[in-house]
Amino acid sequence: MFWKRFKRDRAAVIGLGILVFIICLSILGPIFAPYDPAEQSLAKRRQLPNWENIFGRDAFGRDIFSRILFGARITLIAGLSVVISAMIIGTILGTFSGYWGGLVDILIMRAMDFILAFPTFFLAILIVAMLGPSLFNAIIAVTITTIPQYARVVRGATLSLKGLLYIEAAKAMGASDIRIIIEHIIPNLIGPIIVLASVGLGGAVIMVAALGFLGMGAQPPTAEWGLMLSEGRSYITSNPHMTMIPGIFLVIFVLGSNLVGDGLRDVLDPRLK
Amino acid sequence: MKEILIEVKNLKKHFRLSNQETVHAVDGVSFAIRKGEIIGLVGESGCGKTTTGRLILRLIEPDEGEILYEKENILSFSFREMMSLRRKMQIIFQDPFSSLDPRKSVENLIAQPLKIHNFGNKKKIKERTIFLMDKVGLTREMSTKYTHELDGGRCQRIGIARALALDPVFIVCDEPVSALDVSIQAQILNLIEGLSKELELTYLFISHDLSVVRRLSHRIMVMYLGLIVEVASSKELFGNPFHPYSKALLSAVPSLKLSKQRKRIILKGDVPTPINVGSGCRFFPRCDQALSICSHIDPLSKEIKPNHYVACHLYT
Amino acid sequence: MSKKRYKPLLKYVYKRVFQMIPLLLLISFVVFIMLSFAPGDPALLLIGPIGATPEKINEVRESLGLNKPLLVRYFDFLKNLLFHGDLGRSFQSKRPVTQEIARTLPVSIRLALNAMIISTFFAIILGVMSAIKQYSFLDNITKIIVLTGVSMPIFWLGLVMIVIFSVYLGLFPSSGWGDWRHMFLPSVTLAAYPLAMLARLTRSTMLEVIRKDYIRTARSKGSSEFSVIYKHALRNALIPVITMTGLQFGLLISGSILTETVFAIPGIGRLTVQAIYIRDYPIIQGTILVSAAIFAVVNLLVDISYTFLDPRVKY
Repeated sequence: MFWKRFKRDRAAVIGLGILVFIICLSILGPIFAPYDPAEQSLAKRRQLPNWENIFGRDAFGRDIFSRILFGARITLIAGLSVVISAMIIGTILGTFSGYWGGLVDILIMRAMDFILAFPTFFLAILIVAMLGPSLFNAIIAVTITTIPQYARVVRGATLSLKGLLYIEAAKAMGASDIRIIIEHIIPNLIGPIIVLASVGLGGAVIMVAALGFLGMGAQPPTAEWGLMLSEGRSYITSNPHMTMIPGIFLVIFVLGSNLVGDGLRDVLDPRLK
Repeated sequence: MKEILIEVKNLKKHFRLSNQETVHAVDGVSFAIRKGEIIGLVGESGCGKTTTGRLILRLIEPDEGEILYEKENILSFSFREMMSLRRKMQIIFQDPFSSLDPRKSVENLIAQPLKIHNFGNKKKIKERTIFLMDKVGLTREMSTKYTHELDGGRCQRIGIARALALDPVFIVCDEPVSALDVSIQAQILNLIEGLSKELELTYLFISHDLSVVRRLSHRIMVMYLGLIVEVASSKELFGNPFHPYSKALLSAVPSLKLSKQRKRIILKGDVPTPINVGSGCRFFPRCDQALSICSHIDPLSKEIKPNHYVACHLYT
Repeated sequence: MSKKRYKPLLKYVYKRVFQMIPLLLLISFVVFIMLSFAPGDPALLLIGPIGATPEKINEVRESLGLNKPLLVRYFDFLKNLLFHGDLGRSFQSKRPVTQEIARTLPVSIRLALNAMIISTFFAIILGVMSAIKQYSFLDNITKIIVLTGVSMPIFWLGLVMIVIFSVYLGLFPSSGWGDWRHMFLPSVTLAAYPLAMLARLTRSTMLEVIRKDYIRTARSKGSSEFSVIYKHALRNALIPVITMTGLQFGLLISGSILTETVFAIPGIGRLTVQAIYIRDYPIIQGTILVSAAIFAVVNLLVDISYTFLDPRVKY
């Protein structure tokens, strides 16, 4: 039903195409990758793109094309993990906060305000500093910085839904609070949440890649695009392809997800335009 | 006389609007409802009747007072005890559309209480749902429809079916026909009345419309700004209203008998709000028969005639 | 401003400033705790892999005060901060943290201000122009700029800038900080994302406002098109833009970390990153506290500015 409206937005469809392309890369890529992404070759270091290696080789002689393919999977999974975790945790916190109010609300909202008091990226690198550098910790860090958005939106929606008469009717029937939240409140939240998630996917991916770029995310020899960017940085004057190519792919991914996000938002929540 | 099913003692509920303003929605209400009777609760908007209905079901928690169901104070009930109580006490809401989840089909709406209380397997639930739909006059084809596809009357039938799902003993009808077209009102009222006889239900029938309450109720309570000012049988109240407010209310009821056309009593003053009421009779500012005592002492309820109570200084 | 609005506003400001203090205290405490759980021993990192005997490590830890219990360390820190305005000393450089921050903060602020000016200026122009002439060439260009600006990771954009303007065109230096030539590329890089967001916001607010009835009324009164746009539409459209400008600041602070790293600019972002690499706790503590404080102050200023802009807002 929404699909028809979505299809009309050409930009969004292009975005979806891009995303599908990336998804294919991430699923099929590693199977068809010509080389082992970790296989080094000291003789062929920093090779520019050629017929044998479409994207050339990096500072350690690894085939960049294969690394891009593996990196697609990593980036996609990282982004989705962040967004889905933040969505779930944010929804739980938001509904509890909005539905029960009182002390629970105050505590949860204070916690959210606390997170928001830090400039976002500072908090992310602090969390990674505390946990130790790894892709998993980077995902955790970015998730934590994203949760407050979801919690706030969900809380707002819950507050306005709370007063609906059919919720009171459910209470009269003896429905427990949890049942009401699951059966009545959450189905009405799906719209705004999906919009937040799809618009936020791009940002999440960038943040995880940024942490990788700083060496605080994925660690070598993982083929994460942000890490690849920083690894190629020293040779930017002589062999820019090592940095440029992973970056271009990042841009493509984020562009795709932003287009889809905007499209979804126009379909699900036109007044937000 | 049948035994008392529900007894309410000195029920109070205040809503705090801000630091200075408190709404005394229900300010010391006491009454008893007997098994099998239909008791009407009437008054203008804002008098507290809807709040009273909600309080009896503990959809709102009272600030003071007791609510006794079969002699037990339900305010001290645990969650589980309330759950089993909810099978016996139900409510029909005023707005048939907003009281039903627009995302659920008719079938699911009626079955919801059954599922919550673990009525049985899918088959049993389906059987019961069909049974209930028959009882309220909904055809089987409607089970898969949604509320936005149906009219107010049908939706209200869904609300009634849902209330009947677990075989309740007592139902609060909160203005069940006020939101419906006049032509449909009669149908629904007939249904409610018929069900009361057939299933031996006890009703608290809340309405601002006296003509609606008249034919259905055995007894009627008149409420004003959070207090009950008069209680009497339907016949008595319409024949012999005592409280000035009741008289004014009744004067506004159109009567078919030309000879009984009452003189319209128009109350002076604006409709008051139940915020920060002072001492003295609530009705004092609008009463044309007020005595000097009325301005500073709140009248207590007295039995003027057998089973006819009034709270008014004129009759003390 | 009328006397009547002045008093409650002042009260509000006091209230907010008052609330900031426990918040910052809490932040400093949480950061402290988080750092204490961090893996990696600063002493070890200072000494280096060679010559790192257990005795030497312990010696260094003693000198850094790391062997004292957590709460004692925190209260020492708090004491120093509140009574002497002292944030401790860097583990690595041994210089006072306040000094390091005083050295780096102005650089970052300068960078952020540059970026803010660039982004606000061009965003408003682009936003307004594209709203006025919808579907025109300019409008489409703006839309593309917005889309790409929002999708580009800032660290990549910086590297691209370097490759194009520094390496191939040789117009600007690729790193360092000194004159306007050093500032150009990083400022533009940092401005890209806020510019995109602001342009989009300005455009959509302008569109909304232009369609509103009171604009039609003003037009029908015969005012020139220009005055209609300028006086009526822009004023109201600017309100959410001002909000965004405040929020922008948060983005700029965050973005400064990456921009300074890419362009090797001696700002507070880069200081923080370096400090994290070598586990220089006092520096990390100090920079995060200071940036959170600045963030809070900017937010407060944005909230206050609301009273001037939107007469409906009362405190």
